[in-house]
Amino acid sequence: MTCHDARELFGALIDETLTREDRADVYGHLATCAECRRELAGVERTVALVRGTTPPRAPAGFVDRVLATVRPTPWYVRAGRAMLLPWPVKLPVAAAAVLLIAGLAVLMFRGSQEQQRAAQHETTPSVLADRRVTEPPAAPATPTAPAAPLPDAASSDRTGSTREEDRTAAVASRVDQAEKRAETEKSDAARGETFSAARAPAPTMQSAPSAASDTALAKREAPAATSTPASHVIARLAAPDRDAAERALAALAARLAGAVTGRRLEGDTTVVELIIPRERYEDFAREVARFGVLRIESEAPAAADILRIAVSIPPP
Amino acid sequence: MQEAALVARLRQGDRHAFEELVIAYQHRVFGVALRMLGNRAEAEEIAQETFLRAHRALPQFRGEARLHTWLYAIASRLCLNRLASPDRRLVRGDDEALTAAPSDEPSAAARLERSERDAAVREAIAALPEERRIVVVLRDLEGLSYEEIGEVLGLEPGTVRSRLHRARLDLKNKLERFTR
Repeated sequence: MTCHDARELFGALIDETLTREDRADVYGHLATCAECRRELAGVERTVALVRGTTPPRAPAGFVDRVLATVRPTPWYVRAGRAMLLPWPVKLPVAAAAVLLIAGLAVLMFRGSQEQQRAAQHETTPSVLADRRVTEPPAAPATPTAPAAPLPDAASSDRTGSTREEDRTAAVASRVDQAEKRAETEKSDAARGETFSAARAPAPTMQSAPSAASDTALAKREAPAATSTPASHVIARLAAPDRDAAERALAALAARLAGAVTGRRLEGDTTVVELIIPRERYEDFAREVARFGVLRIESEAPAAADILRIAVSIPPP
Repeated sequence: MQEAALVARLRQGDRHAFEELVIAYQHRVFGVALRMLGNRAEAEEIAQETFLRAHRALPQFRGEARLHTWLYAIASRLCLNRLASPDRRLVRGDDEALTAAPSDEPSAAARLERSERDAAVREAIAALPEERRIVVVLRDLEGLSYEEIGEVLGLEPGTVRSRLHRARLDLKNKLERFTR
């Protein structure tokens, strides 16, 4: 064993971690090397010196301070600390919050725009809205062209089967095209002309989709003749309670797999437009008689599967 | 056996058990931090952080390591990270003798001599490279075995032995006037 090898093991010798064999080798070298014996003695004294130093002690109150740091912090202290966040943390958080609020505001603004548009759509032409001001507030506003049965109709007819509802939706979609066309023309008329109460509905009548409708409509007289163009049946319903009659009509239409497609005012007369399958027309006429006296003013020859019916309800 | 019982209580969230842990290990953890950093305020900060981290990690402590080696591991890592921090170069050591434990030496001359010796040892340890310093602190001041030091620092026992050997040679050269 060389001096270098022996000195490498001095630490382990002092710490008594050498194997018996290594220990024997080191002692064997030390027996023949005075320099290494001196070196070992120096290392031993150094280790003893280090181990003999006074160990440091934690400062007074250390335990209490540690325990205070691990104690659950009350909410108000946490809130206070949160407000004192350093700027590098606070700024990104604040920026993210601003972006979030801005995004929400844009979404809400868009939503309100769509609602406004929908509201305008409901009251087209605008002059009808002006008239509606004079109506009793209890009169329910009915969308011009709902794609499904009215909510109140649906709620008043909970017994209607799912199959009937599906058929209603199908019926509504089949007439959707004609509805849109009629609405466009109505809007144009409202924009382009000065409206008078006695205005004849000539432009809308001209847009009737079939010759049969033309014939039927040609027979009509004002004011009942002012309904939308493609009405196959024009009727007048005398009911003691107009609002109740309107609701009953909507419920009846839904029950017969049809739907209310529009509502408007003609002077003091409410005109409700609805669609029902042609094969349910007999049921319709029979059922309507339960809540009022129905007088058919005109009936077009039935050329379509879907009947469009305009029911005028004069005030009682 | 006592440590196992303490660990069991700690893992159950026993607040008194944690207090017992801090009381039992405060001087050792603080001692490691002070020997490594040489500054009492900084050492207290690191020692507090050690116990805070231990408190957070207690639910995950499975008991594979002994409690004291686990605490030493946290403290050593925090100290080495602090020493590696570029902001730390400005921190200076302070006079530990002012707050050292009362000496048992009978005479004023002996107390003065001991104080001088302790200061020389502290300075010599502080002058060691960090990776040697931590090994000497854990072995010769805290009394850990080679295996425990390897566990604390994540080193092989051979590496521990060789670093310790070099550290002791450095100290021997620096403290020669006290060892003749």
